[in-house]
Amino acid sequence: MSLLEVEDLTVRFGDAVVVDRLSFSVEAGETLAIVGESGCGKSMTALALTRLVAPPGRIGGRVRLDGLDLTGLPEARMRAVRGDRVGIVFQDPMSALNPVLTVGEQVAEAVRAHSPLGARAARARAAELLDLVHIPDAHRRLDDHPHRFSGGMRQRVAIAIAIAANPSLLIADEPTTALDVTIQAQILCLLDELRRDLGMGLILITHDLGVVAETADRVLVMYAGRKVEEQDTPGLFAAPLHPYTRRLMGAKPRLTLGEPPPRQRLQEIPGLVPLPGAIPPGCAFAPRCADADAGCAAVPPLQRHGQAAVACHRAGLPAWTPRQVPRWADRSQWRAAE
Amino acid sequence: MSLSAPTHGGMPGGILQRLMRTPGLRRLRGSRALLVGLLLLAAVVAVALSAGLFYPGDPRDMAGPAGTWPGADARFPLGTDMLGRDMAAAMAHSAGTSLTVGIAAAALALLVGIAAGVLAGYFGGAVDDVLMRISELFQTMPSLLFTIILVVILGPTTASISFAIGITAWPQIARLVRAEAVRVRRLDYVDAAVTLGMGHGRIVLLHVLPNSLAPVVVAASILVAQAILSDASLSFLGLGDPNGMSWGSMVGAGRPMLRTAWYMTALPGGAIFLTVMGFMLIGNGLNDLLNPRTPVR
Repeated sequence: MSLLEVEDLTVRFGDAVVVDRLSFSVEAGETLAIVGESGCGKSMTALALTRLVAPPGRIGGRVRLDGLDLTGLPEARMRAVRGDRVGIVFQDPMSALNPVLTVGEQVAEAVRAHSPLGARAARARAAELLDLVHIPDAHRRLDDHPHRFSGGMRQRVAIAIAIAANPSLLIADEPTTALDVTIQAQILCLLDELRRDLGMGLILITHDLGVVAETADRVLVMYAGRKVEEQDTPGLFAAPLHPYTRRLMGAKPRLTLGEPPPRQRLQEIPGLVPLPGAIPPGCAFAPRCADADAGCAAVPPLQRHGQAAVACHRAGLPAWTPRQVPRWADRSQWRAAE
Repeated sequence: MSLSAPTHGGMPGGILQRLMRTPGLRRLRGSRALLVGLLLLAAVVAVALSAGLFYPGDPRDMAGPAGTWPGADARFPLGTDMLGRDMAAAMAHSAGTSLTVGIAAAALALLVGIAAGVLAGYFGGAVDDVLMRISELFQTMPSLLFTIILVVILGPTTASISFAIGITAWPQIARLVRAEAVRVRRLDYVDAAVTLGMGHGRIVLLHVLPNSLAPVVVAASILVAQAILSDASLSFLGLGDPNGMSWGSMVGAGRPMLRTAWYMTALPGGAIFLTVMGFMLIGNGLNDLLNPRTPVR
């Protein structure tokens, strides 16, 4: 049995479906990346897992963690699950800490939220946790206020708070988006190390495919609230199946050493993610898809495709091979064409 | 906004830190208003505390000839009033009354206002609606009139006057705190506390309340000033504590003699002015000091 099993998770705000029948599972010690553009329902999925969707929103489907069904749990018991079994790290480390409390107080507070430790023991544990997230000189820094910490250090503290109660699942919602690149790598290493050492399941929500390649075991690609593809990471990068995944990869700039390649135009995906409530019938990606045909008028079911699962009727055809991302003309040619 | 949050004094956290971090008096050089305000306040407090020492006995006793002008008799540096009571003794004893009423009323307004504001802002929805409608109920009534009615009903004692002034002043504090609480509630560390499974009480006390108090620091001193003025108005109208002296009642009592002995009105009036001015200056000075947008001098 998996650590986390999600079945048909649905989040609606009135008529707008933000997350649409999403199913996935996470094993203990595994990293699952959830990828997609802004507005695809990634963060809403994270909130829905711990039932934190704000009031007008409604959650459907089943979420099972460690065999415990979270869907029917009364609110008081749900509160005991939050933090204790599931920790969440947010995107912006600048606002993730309370500016009036010292870092030590905040970590200790998180420790005490789920254990009967006294103030002194909680403080010792806080120092341990700060040490665990590699804050140098953790003992001395306990009494510092957050404004004396850099962004990367604050994100480390936020992670220490999230793992304070030894959760079995850690959800990191864009944990590196607000940080610069060198710090990003450090935070990712830290998350990976903690996952390994503490045996946690890790859900990494991101729009950065570089982050995915570095850390994730498996990738779930979301579009307009639906799962469009799920594969293990090497498979995904070798042969992305869904046109959306391929276009996402095409939209990522590449860094190369040595001889500069001919100038290429980054290939953006035309159009925008449809707003919840205005999702087109049939395949939601079809209006932006270069490969769309008449068959896209029906919602494509999720199909197994070897080890992978993909929701695209073109991907299922036997003769179909993952098409090369179309080569884009370099800018001089564009000019010439005009 | 969040990027600059922790270093800016305008953010709630910054305030306490900036106050605590900096060695006391050096700070004051930056704000002349705060320094002058604090000196005025210190003087009034000193007078109030030493009143019993220099003028033991009842300030309402006749001490000398009536209507002695200030400076005319060495025994009465501030003169005597139309009943021969020592003006200096009365002024000194009144300082304590004014400060007590002002501070007690402000404390009550702060207590009720902060509690109502933080609950309304944090919980929102029905709690917010109910609390804000109640506060509007208070705000739609002219507050002095409302205070007078309360004092008339409750009977004029120092406690009831403080209560009446405080209970009419809390809505402004509640609105101030509510606005801050609404802002803080949306911040990541409050969300993070929810994801940690903390209860509402803990989140409010630990995160929302301390981060919502920034504007209250400034408002509190202005509130004391307003309360002292309200108390003076009540006493002037003869609704003050009949068993005590106060600047307001002295102004009221001196009014008939305004043309012949204006000092009986001017002296307590000046005292009210200086005290209120002191609190106002402290409020403005704190505002300058804690507001990151005022240029550093």
